[in-house]
Amino acid sequence: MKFNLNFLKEYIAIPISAQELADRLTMAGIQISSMTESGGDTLFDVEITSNRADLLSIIGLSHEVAALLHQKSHTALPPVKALPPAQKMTVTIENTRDCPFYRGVILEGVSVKPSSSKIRECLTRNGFLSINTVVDTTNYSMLKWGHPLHAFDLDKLKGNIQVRRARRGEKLLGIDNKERVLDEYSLVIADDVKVVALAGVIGGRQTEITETTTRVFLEAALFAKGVVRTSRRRAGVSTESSYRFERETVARYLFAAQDEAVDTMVSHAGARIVGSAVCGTPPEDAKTRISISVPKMNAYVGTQIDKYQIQGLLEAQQCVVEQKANDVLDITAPFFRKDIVREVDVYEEIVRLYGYDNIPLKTHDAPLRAQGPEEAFFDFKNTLRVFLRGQRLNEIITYCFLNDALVSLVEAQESLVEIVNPLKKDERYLRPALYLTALDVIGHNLRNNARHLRFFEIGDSYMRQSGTYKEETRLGLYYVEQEDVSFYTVKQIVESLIQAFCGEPAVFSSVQKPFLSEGLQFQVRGGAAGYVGIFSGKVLEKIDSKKRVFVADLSVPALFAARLSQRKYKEFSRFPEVVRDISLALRLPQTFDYIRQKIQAAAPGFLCGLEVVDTYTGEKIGPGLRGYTVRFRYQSNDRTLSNDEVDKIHAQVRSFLTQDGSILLR
Amino acid sequence: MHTGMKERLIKFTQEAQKRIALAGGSEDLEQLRIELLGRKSFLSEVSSAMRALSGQERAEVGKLLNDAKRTIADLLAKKQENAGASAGGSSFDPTIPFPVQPNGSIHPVSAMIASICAVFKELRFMIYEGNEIEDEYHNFEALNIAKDHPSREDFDTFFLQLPEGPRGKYLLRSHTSPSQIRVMQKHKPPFAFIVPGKVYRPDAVDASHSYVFHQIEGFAVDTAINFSHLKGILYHFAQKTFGSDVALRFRPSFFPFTEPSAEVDISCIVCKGKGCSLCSRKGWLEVLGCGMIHPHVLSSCNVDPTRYQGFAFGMGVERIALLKLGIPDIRLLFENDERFLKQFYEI
Repeated sequence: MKFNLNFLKEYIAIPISAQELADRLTMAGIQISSMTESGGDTLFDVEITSNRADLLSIIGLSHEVAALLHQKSHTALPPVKALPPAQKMTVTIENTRDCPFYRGVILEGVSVKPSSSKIRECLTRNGFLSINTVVDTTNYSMLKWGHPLHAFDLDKLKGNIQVRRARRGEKLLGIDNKERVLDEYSLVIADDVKVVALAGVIGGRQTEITETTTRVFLEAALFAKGVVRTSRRRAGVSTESSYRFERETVARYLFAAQDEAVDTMVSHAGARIVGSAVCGTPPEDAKTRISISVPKMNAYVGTQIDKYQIQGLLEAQQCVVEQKANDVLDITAPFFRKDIVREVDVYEEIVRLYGYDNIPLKTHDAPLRAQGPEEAFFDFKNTLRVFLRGQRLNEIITYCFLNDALVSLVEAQESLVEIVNPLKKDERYLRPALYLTALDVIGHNLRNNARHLRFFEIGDSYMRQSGTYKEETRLGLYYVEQEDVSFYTVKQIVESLIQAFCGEPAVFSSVQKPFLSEGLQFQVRGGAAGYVGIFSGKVLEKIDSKKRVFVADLSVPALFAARLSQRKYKEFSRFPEVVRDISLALRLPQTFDYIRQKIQAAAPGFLCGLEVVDTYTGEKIGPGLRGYTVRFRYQSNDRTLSNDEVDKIHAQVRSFLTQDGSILLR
Repeated sequence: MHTGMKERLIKFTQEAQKRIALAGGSEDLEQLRIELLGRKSFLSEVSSAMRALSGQERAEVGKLLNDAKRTIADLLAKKQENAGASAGGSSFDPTIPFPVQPNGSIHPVSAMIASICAVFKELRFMIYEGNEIEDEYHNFEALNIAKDHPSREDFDTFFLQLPEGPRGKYLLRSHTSPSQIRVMQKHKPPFAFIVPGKVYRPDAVDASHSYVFHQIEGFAVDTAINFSHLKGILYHFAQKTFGSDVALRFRPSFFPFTEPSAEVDISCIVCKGKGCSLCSRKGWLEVLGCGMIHPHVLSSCNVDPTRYQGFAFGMGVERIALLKLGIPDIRLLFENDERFLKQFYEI
């Protein structure tokens, strides 16, 4: 909200500079976000928190400044004007929960002219356009009292006034020249034939005040904050009026605002009061009495403020304070402070005025008593990050929204979680898998000729599952093919990661996925843990990649469950390994897995390691065959194996592998 | 093979000494080194053959072998040094810029979260991480944010097209505060928790706003925890994060789930409070919000507000990362450009 210093000064003497005032207000929770000087006045931009609707007016601000500066504001509330009831016009309210009270004042003989220079200047300073005497008067009144008013051209109203919910399909052309189609969620002001305003939000073009207006219907009403918020959101507009109603106006100021506007129209626009049409119960601002215990308050905040000092602070804010026995204070807040209803509200008011900076600072004696299980998952993820950084991967963090262009890659589209109110039209779903949002990053970096191109992300994936949802933390690894990067690079990282964290090897088996041209899934301790593979051409097309991209996707909870949470020493062999190689060949499309299974079946003694050191296809070996040089490592736990001993075992393995002819010896 | 192994070793060493003495430039020396000490050398052969020897013999041969290796290596090294000096330089050029392997990195947001959480862990806070998908009750009602409360405006939210749960519609949490409720429903006080996590708000993206960002929430509940402890703990955090010369300012504010509430500013990390462009000439930077947990929030979690009280605070991780690392635009954090990421091996 904006306000200008000279306007405020009409109601309170301010003996300090504008800058000092800004500092004082800011430190009292009324943040001045900017201030500009011009023509002997200062314009403040102030952030009013949503609990302090009473500050959305010059009168409200003057109360606050008075309390801060120990001054007195000249803001006596005028008595409510007694008006004769209107003869030919009635107001009805459909539901008093939407609108507890409505008073329309009928004025005749109004001459609509430009406003006085004082009003014009004041409105312009506060960011309003000066329109004419009538409209300017309502706006000026709102700025002063915080209560919005609306003026209709009475000659353009047909019959009586109703405050009701709109009927589906009713239309209103607003004073902003936008036509809105309404429904029952919006509260409107209507005459006998049409909607004339969106209650508390915006008036209609058809009934607005023009230069030819002579009869005015001046509305002052209380509209419920909830319905105003809904109406204005559906209308896609926020106005000075809706802003105030949404925060709940000070009911008693309704009369002050309207009566003063009527007086101005009488004195400055030649208006004559005909009468008023009223419906609902005139507002009462309830007074709540709250008892607080001074020692309790001091213990809550950590201060030692004396009860008389508290009384002084609260009285400056126009609270009524009574000292009771046992250090108890009875407090009644002024009618405009609707935010003070509980003990803690009073505590806040006391320390706000006492100054948060005066609350002592206790650094290291906070009596923190931790309880509950140590959340190791967080640490586990950080350890994964450190591991992967060591493997020279760069961590990425992506948004979790799936781009529509990638939806076709999703296997089970019925499991996608849709967003009701997406921010972007082409981001309507949450990602069911991490790679779907990482693709964009890979694409970006390829386009920018990045050379390293190895990324990982730890983040959540989301899926519909049996009537509800599943959110799971996954780890994605992505490598773009390069001289020193192949599918095996990724597989190797996955294997060493699992070995390092889970203390046992991953078990791989082949898997088909529509977004992979080749893929292996793997298990750890018998549980599914993820897959590793090569993206299919369909995926690469999406990011225009000419290079292959390798991916691994791991379930972080599965890794966490399979991790070695408690590491225990295992004895290791101090005797030398004996190494023997065999060259074997398989008929395509058989894979090495077949050889591995055979070796497992043979279960040779002392075998402690197995790896493929070379593979070859082509002329050297003949068509339809693939050759492998397989390295066997033998080791005993209690002695050095002799060459003869190993030769014997190895010869047995060799004959076992080749006995049925499916594996060829080379 | 081991017959006469000792003799052969001694002979080999003597011959080696001669050859080293006669060798020419440093290139020859390198070849000689490979021949004498390399994988295919006689010494290496002896070394593998030794395993077959019996205890006493093996010890003797082992000692001779080690002596031979050391003698030869020392001679080679000395000769190498001399060769370099006499030729006016070595053919070995250590200054060649070999391609540097790019480093891996942890995303600055993750690193910032880890570093902030570490500060609070030292103070005996425990870590809790909730789900990103939440329901209306935990995101709003239980936190004293009623449906028609204007402050819901500040928490614009992505709702999800899922069947309504027992606690209202599902949504993407708009802050980490629902975790307060989750923790309090599960654990009885006293406790102190720190909650890092991703949050979502449908805000337009600009240099300082993103519709996905990270928050860290902290809260502690016990019988005697008060606002001055909150101040002390946040001061400790600010010093650890922004340096020991940082000043703190608490301004009254409003959040539905705390009362009293405060916004916390730190003295500008660039100008130290004098006023510069980073702090818009104010000397202060807003970094977090905090307050005493509202009694309504305690009651909605079945914690007796007449017996227990506590504080809560929340901060935006990106904001702190931008300030601390001097990153001018939040979008850099989510563009994930390799040239950006690589800069943050650690923070």
